[in-house]
Amino acid sequence: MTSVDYQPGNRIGIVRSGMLVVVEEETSTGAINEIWDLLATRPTVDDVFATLTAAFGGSIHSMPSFAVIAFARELHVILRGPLHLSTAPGPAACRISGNEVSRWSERLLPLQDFSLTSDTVDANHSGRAWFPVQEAVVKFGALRLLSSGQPETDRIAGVGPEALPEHVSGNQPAQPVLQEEEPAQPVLQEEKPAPADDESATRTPLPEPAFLDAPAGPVSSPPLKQETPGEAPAAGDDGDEGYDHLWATHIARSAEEAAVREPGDELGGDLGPRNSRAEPLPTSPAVLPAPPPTTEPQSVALPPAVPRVTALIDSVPWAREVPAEPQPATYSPPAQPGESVVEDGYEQTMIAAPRHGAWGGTAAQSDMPSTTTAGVKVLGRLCPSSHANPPEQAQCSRCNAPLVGEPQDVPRPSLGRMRVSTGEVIELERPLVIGRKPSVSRVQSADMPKLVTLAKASREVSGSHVEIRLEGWHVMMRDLKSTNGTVLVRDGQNPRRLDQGEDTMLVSGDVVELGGALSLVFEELR
Amino acid sequence: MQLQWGVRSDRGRRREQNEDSVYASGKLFAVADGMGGHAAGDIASRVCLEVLGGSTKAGEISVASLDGVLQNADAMIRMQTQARAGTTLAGVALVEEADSPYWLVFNVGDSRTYRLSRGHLHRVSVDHSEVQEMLEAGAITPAEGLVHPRRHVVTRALGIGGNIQADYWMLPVEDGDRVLVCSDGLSSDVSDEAILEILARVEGPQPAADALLQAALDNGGRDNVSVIVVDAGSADSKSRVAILPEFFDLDESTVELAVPADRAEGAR
Repeated sequence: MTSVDYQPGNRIGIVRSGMLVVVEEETSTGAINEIWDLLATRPTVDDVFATLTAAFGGSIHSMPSFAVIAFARELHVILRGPLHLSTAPGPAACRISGNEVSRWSERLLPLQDFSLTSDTVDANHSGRAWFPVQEAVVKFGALRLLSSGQPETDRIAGVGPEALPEHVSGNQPAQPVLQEEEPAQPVLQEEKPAPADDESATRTPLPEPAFLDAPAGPVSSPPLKQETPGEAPAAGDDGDEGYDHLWATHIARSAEEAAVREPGDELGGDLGPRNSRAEPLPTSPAVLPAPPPTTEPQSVALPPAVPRVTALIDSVPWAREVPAEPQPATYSPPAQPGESVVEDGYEQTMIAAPRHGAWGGTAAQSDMPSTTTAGVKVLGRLCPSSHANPPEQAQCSRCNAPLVGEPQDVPRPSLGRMRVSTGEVIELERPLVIGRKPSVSRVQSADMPKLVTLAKASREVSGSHVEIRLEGWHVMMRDLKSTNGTVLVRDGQNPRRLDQGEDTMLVSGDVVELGGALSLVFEELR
Repeated sequence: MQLQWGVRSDRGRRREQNEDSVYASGKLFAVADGMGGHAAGDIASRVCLEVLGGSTKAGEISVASLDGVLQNADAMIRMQTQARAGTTLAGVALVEEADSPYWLVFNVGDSRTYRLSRGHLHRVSVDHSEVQEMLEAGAITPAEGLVHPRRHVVTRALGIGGNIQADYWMLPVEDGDRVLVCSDGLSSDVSDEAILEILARVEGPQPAADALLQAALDNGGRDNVSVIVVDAGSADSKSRVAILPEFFDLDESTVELAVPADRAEGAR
């Protein structure tokens, strides 16, 4: 059972139908009412987002801060401005911020407990009382979703009326504020989608026949439900992330432990309330309660009695419970005992142990980075107006301000422009592949080039003709084994035909001819 | 540009259950090969494709969005299997780049994507496997790779806490293109040459998928076998069994497609 509660503050939070919309204090009552009414229709996140952007009008850059958080099925988070969402502390803890992005941050996560704060929360907030929200418009400083079934009255016990939060005044009689009389069923109970609901079937981890082609055997094998309450992880305070005050006094389980304690039925066809997926985090009692015996068995833990599972698990050396043992890189590794599992005469696919350093640091992190990726950094110096310059430069190339201090990693600016003879102008901010029908092979997302299609190119231009790469502060060009070749025309030099596959550094003013029909002019290179 | 596709997934002749999952929609096709034994691998592959399918249903698919989706899928698999199971993921999405249709091919692990385009047949994806690394280092020959004792060891997978970085390809869609996404149950039992011969010979995506599955079963069917064949073409190219209205705005009910269990078993 989940519940939402909050500490009073200045942000306006609209909670309804398993969704939370946050707007600034200055937002008009009309707009708030519009959102309140919209939420009653159980809209999609996209619907709400569209309504918000329409209400704010203008361009995204001039929009105020806001948040749209759906927590009925999975946790879908959109944040703009000084708002921060944290999931429960632990190895899988995740923090999403609307700061330092030009538009907004968006994430889709498994449903889990979270807390939302804004930058303006004062330091004394940690001691404040939390008040329950069922469906309401509240002015909050911090707000959290908890999946415990604590009676609301316990949480507000002892709080005098002077501490009650301000309510957003609205002239809607139907608008609930602080829920004084708590219904027997927690509010989110209402949120369960009909099991047959198309959208939920495709957006949630419910078993879906369309995905499955397993033979007759039931997917939901009973052994999935074998964990007994007594096996609950021991209580331990691992909440050391600095957001403890947003959580209960005692965090008894890490997020990762919590996460796997979803009801096993999730995987096995349970069509019960969606919100039961969220992990019950104990709120006020200091003692970790064992999972209530009345609830269904709660783990997807595989029964240790199944030998094949054990065999495979043992062979994954960096599974969480087993200390990682990096293997040295070798190209003739012998089959390792316990790793290659042979069953019934056929070989089972195995996963190699990670070899540190072999992947250029791209291995997945347990704290997942935000989807808003920072731009490429390069060694340089910033002028007082924050223009990035190459480290050897003494004056800013844009404003002539003197450059002082040690070079450091700075965001790489555009390294110049490429003007195509067809008129197109492209800023050199990313690598490019240029051609009649450019294609890209085997790159990782960070290296994905922009494809420049020369629409009017004749057959003289190859499908992928040249590639532009940005290396540090330099612009490099390579002929991609084009059929009709690439000619570099540089001031004061004879035109030079590049060898197939040849790499060359470009300088300002260079003209590159592709197959004799089209040319590229490089301007204002650094 | 219109797409048609055919899908088969089968537990093969030796496995007790099918740990592969497949996803096919009007713009996204993927195969996940779960590993982890018992029900866990099955859960991993299914959860992976549920996250993938659910997250890409609305909006455009891009490399950046897929990267985020894979991170979420990885987290979801770890939650649901307690990091005891993993899955490969291979697939192709139909995207637009500079007003032209492109195949966005993605891969984590050793499931594969092949493409038949303008009469040329080739394998697109490059396995994340120890054998592939040995091949690239010149330590073994392709023939040795086929029988190497560690040919089933993958170096990337979702859900286990290791490297999940996908490789991507962007390939312009040509009229008449045919793309195959398959689990290694096909590619270990059927040679690349035989796969490409079937792709080139058999008309229609579903008959081609059927023929590929049958070839794997005929050669032993030692692993689960999953096959998606996608044909792209304009309305008037060749004979088309069914024409989809618009690839970005499919009716919800047509978005997911999988072979009913009775049909999957029927090939034997």
